[in-house]
Amino acid sequence: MSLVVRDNLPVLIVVALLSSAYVMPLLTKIRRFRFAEFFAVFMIALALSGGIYLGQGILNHGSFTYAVGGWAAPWGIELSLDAVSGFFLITIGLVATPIMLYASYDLVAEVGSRSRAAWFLTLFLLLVAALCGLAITGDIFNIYVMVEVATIASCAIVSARNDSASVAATFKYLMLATIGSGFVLLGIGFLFVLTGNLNLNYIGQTLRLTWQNYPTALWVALSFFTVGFGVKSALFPLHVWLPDAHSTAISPSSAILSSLAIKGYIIALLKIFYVGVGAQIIWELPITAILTLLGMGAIVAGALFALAQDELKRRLAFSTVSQVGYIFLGIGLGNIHGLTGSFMHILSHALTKALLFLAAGAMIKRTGKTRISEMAGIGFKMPVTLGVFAIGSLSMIGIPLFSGFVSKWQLLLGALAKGNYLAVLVLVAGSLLAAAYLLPVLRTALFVRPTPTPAKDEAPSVQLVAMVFLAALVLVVGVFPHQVLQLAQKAAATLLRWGVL
Amino acid sequence: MGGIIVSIAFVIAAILSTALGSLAVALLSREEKGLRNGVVVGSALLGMILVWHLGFAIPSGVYPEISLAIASLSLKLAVDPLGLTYGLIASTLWVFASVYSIGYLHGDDKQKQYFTFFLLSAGITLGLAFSGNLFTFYLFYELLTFATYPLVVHSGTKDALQAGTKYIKYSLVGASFILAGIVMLAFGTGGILDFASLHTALAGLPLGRLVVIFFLFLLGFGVKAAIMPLHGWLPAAMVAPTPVSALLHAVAVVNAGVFGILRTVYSVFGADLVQSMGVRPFLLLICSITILMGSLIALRQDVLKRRLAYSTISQLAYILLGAFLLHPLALAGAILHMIFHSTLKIVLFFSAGIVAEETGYLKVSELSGVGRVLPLTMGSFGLISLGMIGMLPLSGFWSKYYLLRGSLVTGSWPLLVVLLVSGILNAFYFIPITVSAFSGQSELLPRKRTRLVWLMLAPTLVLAILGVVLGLWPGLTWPLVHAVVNQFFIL
Repeated sequence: MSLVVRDNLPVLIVVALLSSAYVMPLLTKIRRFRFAEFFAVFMIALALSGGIYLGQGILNHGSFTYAVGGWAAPWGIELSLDAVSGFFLITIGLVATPIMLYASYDLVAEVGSRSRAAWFLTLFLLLVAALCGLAITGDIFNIYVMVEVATIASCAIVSARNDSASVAATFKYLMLATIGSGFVLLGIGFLFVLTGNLNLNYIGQTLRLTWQNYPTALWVALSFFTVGFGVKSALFPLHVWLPDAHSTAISPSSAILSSLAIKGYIIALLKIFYVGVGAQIIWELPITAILTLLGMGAIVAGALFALAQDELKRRLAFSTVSQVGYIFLGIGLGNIHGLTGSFMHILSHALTKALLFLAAGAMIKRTGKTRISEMAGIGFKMPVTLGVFAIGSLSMIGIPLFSGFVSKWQLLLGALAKGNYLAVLVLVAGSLLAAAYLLPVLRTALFVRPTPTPAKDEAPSVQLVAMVFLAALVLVVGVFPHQVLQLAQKAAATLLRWGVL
Repeated sequence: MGGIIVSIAFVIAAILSTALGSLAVALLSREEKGLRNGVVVGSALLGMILVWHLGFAIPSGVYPEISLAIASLSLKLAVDPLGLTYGLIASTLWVFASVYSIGYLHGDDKQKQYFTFFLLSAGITLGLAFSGNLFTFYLFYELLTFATYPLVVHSGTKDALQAGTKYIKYSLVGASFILAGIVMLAFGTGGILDFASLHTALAGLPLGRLVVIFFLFLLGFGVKAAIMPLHGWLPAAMVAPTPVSALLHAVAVVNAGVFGILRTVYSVFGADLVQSMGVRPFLLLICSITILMGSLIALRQDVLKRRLAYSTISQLAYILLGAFLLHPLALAGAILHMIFHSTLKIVLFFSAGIVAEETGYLKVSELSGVGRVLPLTMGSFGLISLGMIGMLPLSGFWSKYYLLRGSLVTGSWPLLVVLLVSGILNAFYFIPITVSAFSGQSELLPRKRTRLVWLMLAPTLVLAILGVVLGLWPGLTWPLVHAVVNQFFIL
């Protein structure tokens, strides 16, 4: 890797994705459509390898900052490459690559027309670029820009197919997301007024000295962030847009939205809370207790809603509401185990939910059946798809050897360290509820055999490769979590400023 | 004996032989029946030989182990006498059950699925037997639920699916208790979960929290051990094919629960600590209730398999009773009963399965005269049921003898009554079956035989003979029992 590329890698990842996003419509005009799809997969995979390279470097040599355009902080935009960024970059790459690969099969037919498909590729790359930007940025206004890009791209990607249900869902999503953005912007305004800075590190330094002068203002700012990012990341009870949006979108859209898009906002929230404001101050305010409560409420309520759904994709969408609760619970616990658990769950849920949505999409596409009760015997038709669905389900329940267990374990330790036995109960109950809403799918698909036994009719092999790749990752993270767990722990330690202060 | 090579490689090989056998069955085509049957019996046999090899090494006192770090936790396999006991029982009976299954499922169109999970469960069971720490134990315990579920719902009928759901619900809720207990332990000990070092690590923890953890484990393992009132899934699971009921619901799965409780009491907490927690009277009380209620309910069951299921519930509580008495003699009784109950109960289920397949009769009230048509089957049933009651020349006597001695030595007189009354109840619900089978008039029509009956009868007879042999020479099991008792009590 040449020196110029290596030294500027952080910004290049985002720039490369952004520019290739805008090239897509043009590319589909001058080359074959396959080429554009292949190019999109290639760019995301490239971003993934860049992310892994950066993550390795951060793990071995510690974090560093990068001044965009050579303008040093606090005047220029500073990218802050720490374990948090490395972890999220790797997560994005690992999940977005297979989703794009899966989407590349028959995309034109899926969304309706060639030009729509080209726009889908643009939006997808824009979304990934914005998420990468959120991962690495150290500037609060830059966060806002990336949040907006991600939001608009997410909204548009929901209605990729242009049917009435998804357009209605998009509209609902757009309204609520815009309100969320408003809250975020207000929060940013508050922080700027309080500190005179937009750079997160500088905000943090200023606040540490002065926050006791205006605790109420800070408290209001944090509330705005909680509500704003809460809406965008579907924190119960602000989740109302998510089930419609995520269940009516085409499956690759559902997968990327549920697995990655909402996590980007959580990363932004984490950065603002822990880097910008700082753990010591956060703990002084009741915000962590509120996040803990909201997280627990989300786990239980989301799962109960999921139980009530018969439509497979809606059930998975509500499951996301429940799983996001785990992440917020970890943030609320706020200790090293809790935050490590949140990071691990960001990765684990991203892998698992992407896998489940993709598998569900393949099933629905092959059989035309969207309801769980109609899915009897699909396992005989699509054994591999159901096999990976089973792996995803077990991971979501949190069975050991699957990635979900690693995060659940950390969260449990975090809850105990905090002495919060209610959280222990909720975490355990949450996995049981996950079993209750996911296992019936497997039961119906695998063990109810219709007569005559359906013939094998698997998903297309490109999609199978994408799903098997995700399933393999779920197992690899579950069985050999050392490297990622170390990175997650380091990310949590960074947020808590262990070894920094 | 000095020449025996003891290595953890044997454990890994035993687990792999069955797990890879399962994979092979999954990859083989549906039609290759001969090869599949060969793989099933072959890998079960190989697993058994490898475990027995380790069993013969017990006198050497060398117990190998291996760890593989995973997350902040580590997977650890280790050999110890208690684990070997469970491993020997399961791996041996698995071979018999695999032969029986081949006969039983002859002509069934879901054999491939059945044998895939049948062998997978064997591998998981062996993993459970040789788990060296609580996390590994929990892992295999949880996996066992999922691997055995397809066996329970094999027939795919509505009843079977309902029973399967009940089984999953009970097991997962139980496992959650265990997970909560484990995480509390790990938090208290700073991550130490090894059976070998937990005793010392627990010393500093407050007694109140230990009691909570103990009860979390008891609730969790109590589900599979079918302690009342956690037993509801077991009678329901009797819709499973007979070899599954025989192997899983009389041996592997239920013993996994019992084994878990033995581990909790002796490997995690230790007899002294359990004694000082003051929970013993309560534990003995629930065991006594389970023993008596199980027997009483069994008496009222007309469906033979359900009667056997309630008998199992009652008999498992004998083992737990022996464990909770916290005395070497009682523990010896518990270990003996675990061995003997497994070998005897599987014969009873096997016989019931043959009767059901040959005559179509499932109820006790229909069995009149069946003994004249199926003399060998009902003969084994009659003989072995005497063993369950605890008649002298049969193995069941010896375990009960030690349990009685254990309760006498510890001064628990009421238990003497419990054991004797339950013995009488056993006689009431077992003996009439045999009597009517041989005395009543038979009105049987010959049935079309789709199953290979001799493959079902052969393992039944061999195990029946084994039951008698163990009764005549109970000393055969002594090295094992002695090693287990020595492991936990300094004699």
